[in-house]
Amino acid sequence: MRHPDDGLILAFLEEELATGEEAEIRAHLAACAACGAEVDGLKRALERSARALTLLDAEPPTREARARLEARRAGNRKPRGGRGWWLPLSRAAGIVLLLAGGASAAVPGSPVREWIARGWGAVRAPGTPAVLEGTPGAPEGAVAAPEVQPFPFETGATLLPEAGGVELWIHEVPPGTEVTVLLSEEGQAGIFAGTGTRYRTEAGKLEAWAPPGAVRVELPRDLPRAVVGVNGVVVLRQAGAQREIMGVVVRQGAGEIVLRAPSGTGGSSNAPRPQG
Amino acid sequence: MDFDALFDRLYPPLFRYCHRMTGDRDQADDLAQEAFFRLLDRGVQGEEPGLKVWLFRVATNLVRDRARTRETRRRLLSALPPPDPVPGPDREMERQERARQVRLALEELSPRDQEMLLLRQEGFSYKEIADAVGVAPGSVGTMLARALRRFSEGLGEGETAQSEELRNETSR
Repeated sequence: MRHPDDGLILAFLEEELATGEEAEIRAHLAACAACGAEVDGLKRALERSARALTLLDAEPPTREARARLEARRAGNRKPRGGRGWWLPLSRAAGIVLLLAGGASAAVPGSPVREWIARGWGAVRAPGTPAVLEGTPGAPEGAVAAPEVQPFPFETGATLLPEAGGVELWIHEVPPGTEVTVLLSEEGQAGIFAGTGTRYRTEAGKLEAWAPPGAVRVELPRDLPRAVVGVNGVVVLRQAGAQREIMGVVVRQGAGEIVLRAPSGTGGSSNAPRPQG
Repeated sequence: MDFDALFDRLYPPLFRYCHRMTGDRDQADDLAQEAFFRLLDRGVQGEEPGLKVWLFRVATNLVRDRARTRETRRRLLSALPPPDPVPGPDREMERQERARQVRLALEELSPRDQEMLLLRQEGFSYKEIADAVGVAPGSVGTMLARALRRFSEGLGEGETAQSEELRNETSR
């Protein structure tokens, strides 16, 4: 084989290669003195870097930080002003997700339902609203939080990218409906739509079957790979900073792109609607 | 999963990462706390490994937002005179001087290279680094190797033995 580059050698040293590739590199290194020297150089660099960085460290104020966080949470129950509509929408991502969970709970084996069931209360600070009053599918003991109702008529679901990519598909959107794609600085992607929306997830993919009404998609701005599809048609594709818009653009700003839903072809992702 | 336990496990590495990125204890605490606040505020759900990547990604974006501050601090650091030889024991002075050199070597890297190097130090896999920083997974090894070499070269020749000695001294 050709001499592996620095990146491959480092990945070999850090056990980040697949088995076959690792065996190939190992065999090459055993027979190549020049690459052996590269290995030694990178090992030394790894060791001295790790040691040097410890000189920058300070003791983390964990207990104090937790107390401050709880105090801050306690003082922020009500929606804050000054951040436009990003805050309520983001807040909605957390809260109305549970409404979505209620809807999808009727879907046998729904990953959304399982996710919510596992996550219920998992990252809930004392006093954090877990569910709005009257939410279907709320677990026993869930605390209602009547003071926080940012988007009571919307549902939403978010997911983290898989291998740097996401696919977001919205089905059964009436042609001509405005679909807003929000370019966010956050790590998760999401779909937000009206009450009654059904969601389905798998690794790196989120699908929604939305009733008539506005639809919003939240997309991490710098995600290496992303696809947004409406009615089986890809309307936006993203590769890092490169973004290709295939749908009809209604208007476009720095942080959002509003597209018109196509009539649909039942194309690449036309999974059957969850029943329930 | 209990939030307090999650916080106790993930706050220290997140704080360390932010502290290494910013060089400022208060800023690091603010940034780490802001990331946790957003996690709660937005109701992000999932398993711990995914939440960890989410937190580090948010913290990374927050640090990027403060890039202007960092640039200011970098100029200040560069302009700093060597430590005053009068106060404090020699060893502590020496440690501070080495820490300053390490900081300068780190800041010679691009922000993205810093992020990748420090995330790897926190035990992130290449795939997780790619997710957190927003690069293709296949390019992580090459970018990391480049960052590592530059950082190591920036540390100068005497770093290894000196740091080892100083760390032992501090831990005794």
